[in-house]
Amino acid sequence: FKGQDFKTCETSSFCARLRDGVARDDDRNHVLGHGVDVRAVVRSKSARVVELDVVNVGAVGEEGDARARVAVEAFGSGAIRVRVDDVQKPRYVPKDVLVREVEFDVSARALLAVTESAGEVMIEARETGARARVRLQPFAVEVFAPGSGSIPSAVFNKRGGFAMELAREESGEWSETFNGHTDTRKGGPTGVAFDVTFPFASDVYGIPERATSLSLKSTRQYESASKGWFKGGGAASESERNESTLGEPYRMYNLDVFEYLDDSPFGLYGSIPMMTAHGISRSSETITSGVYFHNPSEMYVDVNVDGSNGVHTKWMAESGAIDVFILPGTTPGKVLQQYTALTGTTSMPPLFSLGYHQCRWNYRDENDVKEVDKGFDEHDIPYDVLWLDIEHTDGKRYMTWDKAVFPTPQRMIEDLSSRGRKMVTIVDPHVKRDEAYPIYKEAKDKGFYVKKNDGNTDFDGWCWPGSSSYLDVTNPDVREWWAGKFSLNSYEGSTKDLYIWNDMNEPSVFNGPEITMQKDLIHHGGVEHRDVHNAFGMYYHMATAEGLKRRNDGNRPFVLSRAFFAGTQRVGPIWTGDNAADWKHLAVSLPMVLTLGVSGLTFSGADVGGFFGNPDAELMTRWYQVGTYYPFFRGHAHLETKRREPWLFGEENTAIIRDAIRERYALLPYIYTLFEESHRTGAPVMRPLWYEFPADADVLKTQDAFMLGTAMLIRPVLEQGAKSVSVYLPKGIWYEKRSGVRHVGPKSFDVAVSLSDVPVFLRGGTIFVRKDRARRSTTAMRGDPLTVIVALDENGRASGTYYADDGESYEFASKKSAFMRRRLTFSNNEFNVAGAGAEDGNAGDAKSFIDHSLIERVTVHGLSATGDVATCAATRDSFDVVRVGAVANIRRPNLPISRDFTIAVQ
Amino acid sequence: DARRRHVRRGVAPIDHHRFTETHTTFQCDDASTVISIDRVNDEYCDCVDGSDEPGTSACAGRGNDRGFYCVNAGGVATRVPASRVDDGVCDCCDGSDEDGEMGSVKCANTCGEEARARREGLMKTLREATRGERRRAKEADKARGRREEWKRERDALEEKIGEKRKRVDKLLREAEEAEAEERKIREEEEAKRRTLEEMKSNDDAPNDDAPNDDAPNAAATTNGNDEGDDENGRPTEETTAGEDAGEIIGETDEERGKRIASQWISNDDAPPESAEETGEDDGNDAPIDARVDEGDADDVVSSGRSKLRSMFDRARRLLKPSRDEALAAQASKRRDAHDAARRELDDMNDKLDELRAKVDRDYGPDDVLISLSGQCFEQKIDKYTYSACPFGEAKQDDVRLGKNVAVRVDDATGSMTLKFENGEGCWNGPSRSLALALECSDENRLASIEEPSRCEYAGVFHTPFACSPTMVSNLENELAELDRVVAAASRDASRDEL
Repeated sequence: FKGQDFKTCETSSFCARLRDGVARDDDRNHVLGHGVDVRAVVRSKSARVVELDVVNVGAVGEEGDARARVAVEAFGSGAIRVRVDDVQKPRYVPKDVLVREVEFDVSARALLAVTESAGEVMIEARETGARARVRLQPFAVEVFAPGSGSIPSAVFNKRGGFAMELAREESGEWSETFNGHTDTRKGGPTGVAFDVTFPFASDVYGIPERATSLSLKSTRQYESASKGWFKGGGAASESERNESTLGEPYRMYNLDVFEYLDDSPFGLYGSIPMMTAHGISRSSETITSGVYFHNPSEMYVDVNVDGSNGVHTKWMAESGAIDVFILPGTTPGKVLQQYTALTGTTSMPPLFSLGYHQCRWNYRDENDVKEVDKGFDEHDIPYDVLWLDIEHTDGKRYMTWDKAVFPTPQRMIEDLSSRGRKMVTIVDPHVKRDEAYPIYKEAKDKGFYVKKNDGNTDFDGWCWPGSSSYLDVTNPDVREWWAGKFSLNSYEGSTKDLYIWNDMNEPSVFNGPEITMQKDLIHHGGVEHRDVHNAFGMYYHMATAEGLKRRNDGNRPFVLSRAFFAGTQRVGPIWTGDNAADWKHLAVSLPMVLTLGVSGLTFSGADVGGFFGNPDAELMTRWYQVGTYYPFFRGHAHLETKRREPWLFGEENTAIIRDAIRERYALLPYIYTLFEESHRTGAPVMRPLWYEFPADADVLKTQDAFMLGTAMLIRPVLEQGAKSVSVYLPKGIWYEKRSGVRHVGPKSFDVAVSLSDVPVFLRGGTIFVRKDRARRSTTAMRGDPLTVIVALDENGRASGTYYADDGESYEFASKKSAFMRRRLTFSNNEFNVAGAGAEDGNAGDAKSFIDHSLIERVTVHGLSATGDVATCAATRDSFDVVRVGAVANIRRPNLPISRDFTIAVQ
Repeated sequence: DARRRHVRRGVAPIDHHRFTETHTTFQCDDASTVISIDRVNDEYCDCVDGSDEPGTSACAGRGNDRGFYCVNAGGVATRVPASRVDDGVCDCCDGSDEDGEMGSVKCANTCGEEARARREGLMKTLREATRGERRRAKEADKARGRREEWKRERDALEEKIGEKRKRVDKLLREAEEAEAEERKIREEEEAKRRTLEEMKSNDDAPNDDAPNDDAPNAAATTNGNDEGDDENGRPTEETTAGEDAGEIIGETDEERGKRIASQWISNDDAPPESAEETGEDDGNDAPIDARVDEGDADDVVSSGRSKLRSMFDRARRLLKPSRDEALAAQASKRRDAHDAARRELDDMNDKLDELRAKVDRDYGPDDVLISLSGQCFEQKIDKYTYSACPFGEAKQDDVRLGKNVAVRVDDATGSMTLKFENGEGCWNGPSRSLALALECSDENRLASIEEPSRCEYAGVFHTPFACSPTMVSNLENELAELDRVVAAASRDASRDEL
């Protein structure tokens, strides 16, 4: 990490200006708020929106005074939106970030009941019952969840942190220089700021991406507990300073950070300006709420965890509008539902992409590919995808091949395909400036590159190929053209089994300020780069994914990206970038992936083994054991590291790594079911403990253990040489996966571990489905029978769901016959399979569904019945019940899971 | 019958007695459990060790996977892991892994072809090994006693060097005496001249040769950054972090790009595509590890003591004043005589070092590789030309991969590897090294070199010296075994048919 290459709040002028909220003597005609209270004046009320004007308190009249327009609206999905724009010069509106309905469809807005009284306007969304109280002077908005009492879920501008630097008509010299790069900033300062207080909260989560704790630490304290934002320089009381703070606010600015630190508020490759707040009241009620700041410009966020006053946050962005969606909650699941209703849910991944991916910078040539592929089969280790990094190209001209080492790419890919496997190649957004490179030439002739600040000349930046231009993917025409480049006849040597990896799309510009683009570069429509920076990578990712979808006849694409923004979940997975082979990086990968999950982007993972450096056998093995549970599971390594394919760490470790990867494959039916749930509801696949146990004050900061869905608690080994790990099990019944031993939570204890052990606990009351036969790939597992895992609660009951579809098309979205969702229940010693109820989503049509997988085994933990026979009344079959220790297995029912039936244990 | 085939699916003939449909029970390998024979190959894993499902995938990943036995009629019987059974991919050459009740593909029997191909391969290897072994034996005869020869040469040379050294010492004494004489005379004359001059004049101003070259340039580079005038209190922000920011002042865009790129790649200071940066594109991509040419500094050392010395001598002569020609000529002649003798001595010492190294070196068991000493082999592989000199140096183009420091012999197989170490250093990493595995063949040839891990090269060298009579007979046995096994597998298959 080279701190001197990057800015801090202090060296980012807008942050330095806006952070303290100190009133300035300069022209109040150009700044609203910022140390001065603002008041709101109702302008209009319609069925779906209330509009107000905002002026500085003390401004004489409305005409001629600086002013901004506020729109307050509510969504049928629950969010309340407060949008503040410059009246004179409207701010940039990010496109294709929100889902189309939210962006364009009036009927996505709730009908409002508006009542005005002295000094305030009450707004209630008729469909949802969510309410907003707009206080006029000083201007503030309190948002209440439906049916909640007098404590708001969140308050906008409670602390008077509001600020908006308005556009100026006169031209001026506003340039700003950092590290020898000058940003001309022709439009002058256009920073915006506001605060949000979560009055009930003890913890806040989200605003990825950074390598830091799951529960966000305070960055700063208030001078006064009741009012103001860090005002003045006076002394704070002891109680206000008793919590240590980071000092530096959390930054969101997509950057290619070389060798990032394992604990830092510094922002990394992607940004999601979404935060979740959570608290438990004295009466053990829980409230979860959230906020999404819809703005892709650079921003900083201060967090102040303030005891019984809740959590205060202050958001400061360089440009754009104040466009805030408050998510009233009140559960973690509802917050994510409300958020993903705005920005979309996880797209259904192709099934193969949930298997294990083997990557390295670089697999050198076709023979290397062949040998690595063979290595997996020789060691009987499953994997699905082999990856090629930048060296496979002809001089970093993407979508070409270095013919000296990859003379027959199509044959190479077809050979992998013959064993059910896929390949991924890397394609980055910088385009080598070489007239003989058709992609460069064509885009140049079409004027498809990002322009210099003169608005005319193509920007020229430095990346892997040397001098490069950058596709202006903010332009829909460019994206359309780019998508076409993935057709089989355009991308030579590609096949339908070749998928894509987008790296460096922050964008990374080696010779640019902070290793990225100048903020005054010009995009489509004359938009400055500063306005779109954080969404740039997503636009590129979108265009690539669209290209693959088209190429594969409308089937699901798979494109991995490094940069991301709100909405990336609709496009594809991301990984946490260039981490290091270091125990601390292994440990921090958990809060990083968990944070992404509660920020709507659940399909993510860290490079297994650590990108930089050489992991020893123990670290490598432990990392695979964690990777089993990452939603995206890929091993990757830097060019200069030693080879580290799974079988290179000695026989004992090979066996353990093989088990870890096989366990991933065994869990795929469950993981796939969880992905479908995420696609439908926004719930993450890999979940923080607080998400599943929001009322348990002991888990709000837990980041060394997590849940896979609702059914499994995993406490991986993250410490070198560990002989035991401490485990905390929340309230309920739990079964140790390995031994079947039953525990009653809440409970803290130590579990002894050997290198082969990963403490995993099955949660009483849940059922999930596995495929227990070791195979070499997801394709090879297709027809395999199922094992149902039942973990009974204290009443001998459990339930769960199973979802299946073809794993590659979108037919599930339009045809009931293309999927099935089954409800699995266990009670009174009876196991039942039936169509899912409405509360679990559409049941689909199990009868016409092509997958009639048989259940070969039902494994029951905590069974009270002692008989050794189970019977199915419908088929008049009976089955043995085979006991291994405390665990009972119903042997080989061989009934299709698509069929409704009940099996009773005698 | 079908029932028997079902029970015996995936079972080797040697175990058929346990997998018989007329038995009522089956005992798991680990003897922990006895199950009904109906539960063998019934697609459910009953034995903890997985032994009851040799012909299905039901126990794949459990217990001790013995593998599915492929009969492979017409070829060689093999085992494949249980995970491959009925997975939609043909793994046994007879396709028997894909014909179970869960199977979904039809596999062609390719065993005959495979066996033929394998036989041909084996024949070819055997031919090469036979020729190679013959060549090795012949060369071994020639090479016998080579080490003794070198030892004799060494001893003789040591003796000669002793004599030479005496002569050099004598010549040195003579030269020094002559020079001392010369110096004495010259100093006397010089003293005389100086007295004369002092007397003659005090006129000339003491205009010493002032050092007017390279006046220290005291003017500090002015920081040309004069932006940020903040005249009317306008919020013109100046947040230049300046020199503290680690920026290199005056760096061009391109240089900055390269510098940042080099963070990711430890490529000295060159970015990955450095050869292309000049813009002209000749399609000749610089490899990712394009390296800075480190010049010939090393060649100077390796070219020996005498070359250095003669350069030094020449310089000294040029500097020498020549006042008194006669005396000087005399001294110079003596000095030259000494220098020439000294150079000869140095050459002899270089030769001796070489001989000593040759004599002390390990050439593998029975000095089998001694004939390779002094030979070099070159091969173009992908983009590079590799050269390897056993007991010398290996290179990738001009990059030194290391010197051959040892012959490693694998205890189990007897196979030999030449280890080249201490090649050119990798920035932030190890020095380059090469492990060259020797494989028996009828000719000496550098067959392949790869870089599986950064800067750790691995290659194969074909050579008759890796052949041995045992190897030839092993290959003969293998061939006979192949023929036997193919015949047996066909017999088993036809018996199964009955």
